[in-house]
Amino acid sequence: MESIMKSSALSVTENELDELVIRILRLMNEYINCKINIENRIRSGCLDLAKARYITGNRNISSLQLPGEDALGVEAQYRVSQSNKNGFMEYKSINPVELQETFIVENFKNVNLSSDKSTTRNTGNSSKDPIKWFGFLVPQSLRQAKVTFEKCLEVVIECANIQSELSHCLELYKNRKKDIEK
Amino acid sequence: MTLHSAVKGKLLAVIGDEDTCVGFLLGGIGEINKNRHSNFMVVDKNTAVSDIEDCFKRFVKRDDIDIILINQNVAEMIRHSIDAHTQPIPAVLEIPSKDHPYDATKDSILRRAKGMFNPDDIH
Repeated sequence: MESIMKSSALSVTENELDELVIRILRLMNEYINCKINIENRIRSGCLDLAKARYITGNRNISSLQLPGEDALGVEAQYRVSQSNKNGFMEYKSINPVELQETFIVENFKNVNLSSDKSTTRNTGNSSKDPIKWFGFLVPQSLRQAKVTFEKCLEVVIECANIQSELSHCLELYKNRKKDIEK
Repeated sequence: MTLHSAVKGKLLAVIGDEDTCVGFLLGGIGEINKNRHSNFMVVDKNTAVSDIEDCFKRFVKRDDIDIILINQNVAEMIRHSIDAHTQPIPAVLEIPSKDHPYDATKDSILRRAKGMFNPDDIH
């Protein structure tokens, strides 16, 4: 009787293992597709950067324009939040417009009803737009590069989620295998 | 301001060549924090491996960074540090660069997955 119960428990674990393996293989396939998608977008973005350099000159679009450690007021426009979902991390991008609106609403509650209110409301994140590091009249290809890399970031988040789930499944597989070997 | 802090979120860091860093910073991930520390590092042919490794370890230790993007060819230079990082946060994502296409055989997580399915286990 005991051996029948043990063998049925073993077959349940083996079925779980089989499902895990299929899930892992599916996730690996999605992961690789995601990386190829990122590669295509990076290539397209770099091509736009090259076009912009051809117009403005090599030195005007390079790491020389990136903020140094003595720069002030450099804040990320794109952030992520994480939450625990079924044992692994799930990342979500935080919309910078929503973030700015939340900031404005909070500030509006704290300021008095005066002419300062309009200044607070009009404060957008346009002054922190990274494209401004490259000048005020930038070529259209640089704006296109910005859009491409913004879309690339969405794919990066998707890839991070797949990686997180894949890592979790690999851990589960390892533990289930140990249970069987016992 | 409490609501603002709660939804502010965490950063993405990037370690890569000039185009990768310029591109992703154009996308809006760049930040210099109040301690004057940036969340990006431009790697060129003169950058020492020890500098890359130190930068990677600094980004891993920071609690305001959730995802680290690193070019795969740069990741190869500090493979031992990347493989040693097994915590889920921050997530380390190896990304291709314009000069080095993506190679799935070198990706840390895929190598781990491949290692799980040892041919000796197939009876």
